[in-house]
Amino acid sequence: MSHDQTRPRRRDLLSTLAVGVPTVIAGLASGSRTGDAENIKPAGGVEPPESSKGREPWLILTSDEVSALTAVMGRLIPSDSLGPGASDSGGVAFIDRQMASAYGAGDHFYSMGPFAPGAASQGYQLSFTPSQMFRIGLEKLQNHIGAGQSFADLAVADQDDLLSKMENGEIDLSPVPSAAFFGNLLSWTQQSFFADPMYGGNKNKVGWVLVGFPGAYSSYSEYVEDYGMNWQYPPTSIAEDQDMVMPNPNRGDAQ
Amino acid sequence: MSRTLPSVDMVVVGGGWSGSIIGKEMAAAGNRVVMLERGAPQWTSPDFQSPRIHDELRYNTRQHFVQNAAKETYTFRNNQDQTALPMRVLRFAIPATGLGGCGVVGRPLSL
Repeated sequence: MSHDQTRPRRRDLLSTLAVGVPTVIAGLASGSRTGDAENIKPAGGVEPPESSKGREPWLILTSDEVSALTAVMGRLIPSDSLGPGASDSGGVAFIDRQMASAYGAGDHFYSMGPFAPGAASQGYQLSFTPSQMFRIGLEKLQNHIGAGQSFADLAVADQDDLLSKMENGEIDLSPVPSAAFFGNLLSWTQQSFFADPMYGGNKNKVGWVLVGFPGAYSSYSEYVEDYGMNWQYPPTSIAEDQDMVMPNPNRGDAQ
Repeated sequence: MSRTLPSVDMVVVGGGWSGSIIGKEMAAAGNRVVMLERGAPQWTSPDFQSPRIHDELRYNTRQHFVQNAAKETYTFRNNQDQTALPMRVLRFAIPATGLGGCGVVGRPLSL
């Protein structure tokens, strides 16, 4: 990818910043280093029930598509010493649900003709719904790689090389332009990693912890006069925040 | 199916904060006022309620409160040398949708 030069540096920077929020990052670090999603321990130390472990009940993805997406998303936001990446935090489940949703079916964009190659200022001018683009794109990517191996079988360097070529529109995945497909892959990978966990990705809020985002606290009104305070609470998700009342240590509340 | 409605003094287009204040003042001044609103009703609770309103994917990235281009859009070209094409996803000149949309999306929108 063309961002290869900057991505490691950005994560190095995050690593440096992480020193400022030691408790949360340390909690994550005790989880997976192996890249195996099942070894990731939720921040609260609560184990998922045995019955929910293992294979996702996929809504729409085939096993080949799951395999390819797991490998692709594992390169776009890899798991490393900072914690789980996109694939290991439910990213493929996010895409599965999005593809099966009304959004995946294109309920948000004008899908009637006329179709013509437009100028950049005219935006998206293809007829594919997001779901169609993923399905066709993954099939054509497999065709491009050829029989006998899949994207997941390639060496990491070869995977990156292939993704770079897709990003630059240098391989033929017609009818899907490879650059547009790559753009969607990257965009949905990022969304999976930073959207609320209720969408299936960002499991245990790993994306929010990584960048120090507080999440979906309903209100900060208790803190509105505490100028310059050092926010030290772990992120909260929408589901977790429904009835949350935050203590304010600066006012002597019990923690 | 068009029909002619009784004539009034004022018609206010859009029934959100701004239109409601204008309509109230005009009516108080003795005018007969009709207010037009195309959007579905939506209210502070539950439609704009925390913490759900902090769902960045739904509201910010996917612009839940703006007009859905699948239902209504416009064509666009930069100059006469280009062919105007339908904007399949709205990228500028983005109208809000739903009652009180501008009160909720009271900021520059971008996709």
